[in-house]
Amino acid sequence: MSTASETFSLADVRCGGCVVKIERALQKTEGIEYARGNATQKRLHVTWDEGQQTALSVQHIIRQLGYIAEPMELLEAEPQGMLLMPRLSVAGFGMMNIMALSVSVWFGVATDMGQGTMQFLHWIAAVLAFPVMLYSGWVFHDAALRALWRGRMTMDTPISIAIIVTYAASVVETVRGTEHVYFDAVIGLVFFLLVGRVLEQYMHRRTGDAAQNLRGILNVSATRVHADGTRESTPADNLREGDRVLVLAGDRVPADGVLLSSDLDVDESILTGETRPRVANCGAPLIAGSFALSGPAEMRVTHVGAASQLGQMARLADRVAAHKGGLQAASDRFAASYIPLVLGGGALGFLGWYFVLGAGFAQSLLIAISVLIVTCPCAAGLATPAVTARAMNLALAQGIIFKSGAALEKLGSCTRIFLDKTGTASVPKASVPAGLAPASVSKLYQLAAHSRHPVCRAFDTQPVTSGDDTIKEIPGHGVEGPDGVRLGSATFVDARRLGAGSLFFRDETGCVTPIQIGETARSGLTAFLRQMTVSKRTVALLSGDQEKAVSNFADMTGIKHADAAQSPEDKLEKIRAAQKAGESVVMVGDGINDAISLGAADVSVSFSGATQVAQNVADLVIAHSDFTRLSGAIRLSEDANTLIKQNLLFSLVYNLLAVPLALAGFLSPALAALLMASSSIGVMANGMRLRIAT
Amino acid sequence: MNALLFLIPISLLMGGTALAACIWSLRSKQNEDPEGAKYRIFGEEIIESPSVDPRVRIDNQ
Repeated sequence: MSTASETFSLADVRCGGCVVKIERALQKTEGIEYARGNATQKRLHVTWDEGQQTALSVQHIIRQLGYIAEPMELLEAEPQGMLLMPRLSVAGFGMMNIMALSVSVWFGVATDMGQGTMQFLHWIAAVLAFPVMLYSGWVFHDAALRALWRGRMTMDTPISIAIIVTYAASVVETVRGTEHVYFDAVIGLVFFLLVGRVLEQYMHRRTGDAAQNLRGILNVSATRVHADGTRESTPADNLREGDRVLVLAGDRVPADGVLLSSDLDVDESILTGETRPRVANCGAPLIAGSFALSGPAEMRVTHVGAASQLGQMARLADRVAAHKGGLQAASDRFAASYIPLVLGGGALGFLGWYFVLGAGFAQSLLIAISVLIVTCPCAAGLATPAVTARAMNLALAQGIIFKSGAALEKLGSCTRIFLDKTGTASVPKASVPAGLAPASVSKLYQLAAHSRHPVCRAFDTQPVTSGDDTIKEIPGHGVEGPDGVRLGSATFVDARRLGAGSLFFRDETGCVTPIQIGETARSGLTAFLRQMTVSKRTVALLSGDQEKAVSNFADMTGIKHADAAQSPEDKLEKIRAAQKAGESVVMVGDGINDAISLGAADVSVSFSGATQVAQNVADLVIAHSDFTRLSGAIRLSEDANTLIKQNLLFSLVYNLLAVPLALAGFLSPALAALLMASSSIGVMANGMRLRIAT
Repeated sequence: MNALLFLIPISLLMGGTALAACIWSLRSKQNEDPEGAKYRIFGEEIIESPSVDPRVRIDNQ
């Protein structure tokens, strides 16, 4: 018996109860060896007996429960970072026990503790602090050593030095039998810093999980048809040029190719943002990633993977996107210029006290350590991530996915917003012809409500009402109701004479009416435009569409700036020009043709209905089909920027006050560590004040 | 003060046991899915489990 296993993403599952329900249903199923869901990550790992189940049958079982599971490719080399929790537990254990000893020493020294007892307690503290210094502190030593190897310094360098020097000095003092040891300071330092790191890592991982679940959706499998007629299921990557592939209704087209069967309805919205389906005739090209609405059909593969249109555009977009990421460099520069200052301050403290003021070696060393710890740029280093991590989490709960903290910071300061028209600012809308009788109109709505086809969804109707047996949908053709009323393609209603148009309605008398499919503003656009006017931002349309359609749409929505007939290069040009004029540009787009301009903008935004390429390039993906989410995101970003400025100001003031105190010898290392930790926590707490406006 | 000589090791031993338990729970990945755990405790198999004596359930009702 051989088994196979797969990880599925359960991107649309709402709560943990559903995950547990799916998991239990699978465990009771014959042929399922193991099923374990993770409600936190919204993933499900299933192992099955290959003789009884397949990946498709497992997917089918889950679908019958009412959920959609998509097999996902886990990125193997997902950087997990160091496992911090065991290190934190060791530090926590050490801190609690050493504090018990230290407190008794502090009070004992003032009263009647004997020298022997005190030294005994110090030695226990030294032993307890050792694993904390080395094992828990390795997080900092490792980073510092790596940086040193490349001849650099990071935020971790002074921390690592402070930990080791304080520990070594305390051991020396213990051997000499004095009462001043600072094991508690070392451990407090490590513990509080690790708490910050753990929180940061947790927030980062949550954001990454959600984004990866979305990406996992585009992993497809294909059905290859051999010359002898046998079929074989294979991952899309394994297809070769010239292969014959079977595409069923509802499947994604696995590769670029040519249609071999007659008429197939394809939804290419994933690539073009155009939600109206295209009817492909025999011999017509098919694009990888598009959806087959009718079927089954056979196609011949012409281009696979990176060679496909989707793959090429993705590569181009990657190249443009690679020019970004200035913030990381800025923070590295900050560390590089700040850290030598910290080390210099520490050295100055030591030299000044030892040589100039004539203090003892131990006292001078402790002052130097206090300076190192108190100036540790943690508050400055945390000032930004504490806020961005919180903001990204808040946004995620609202269905707004920020791919980077830098995008979050830049969004709030944007001055100009470019919108693509078709599929971004507008969504298709079918309008009922004026001449139609009211009775026919209600019949038309009834038919439209019955289909999930995008054309039918362009009517203002409620989602599909099932249960009406008199109405049936003929995939690829249309919907038929009682008395022979029909809604569908020209052939379906037998109206070839009427010529142009893609949708027709035939009433019970056999009279055929063509239906215009126009476009309407995406929901929330008006509110969004009003808010942008209030905040004095310019909104402009950049569309590849005809002049007339664009100006009509601009008039209808009240967008003042509109450019029509823009090629991707034109759009790029416009964005570059605005940036040269000193504006901070946001681009909102959905199609593959927008990928280049999305990459060039300071911040790029895409809606979840957009093409995968656009979503991959975009800094910000909004899972709701609503523009008010974007204004919410902009406001969140403005608030976050305010808090970041407060945090930076706070850490500046803190350093200006604390450093002179430490240099003057008023701060012991323990007090310095406490101050430093509370400044970090203060900055984190300030970040938590961020709320999302609803 | 002699009491410290055995009280401190005892307290460290107790603390150390808790630390070992904590690390064991992390190693065996019991903290991977805090969201799912709160739903799993209301598992149906607990009620349907054959190890539960049916009479106990009747008494409880």
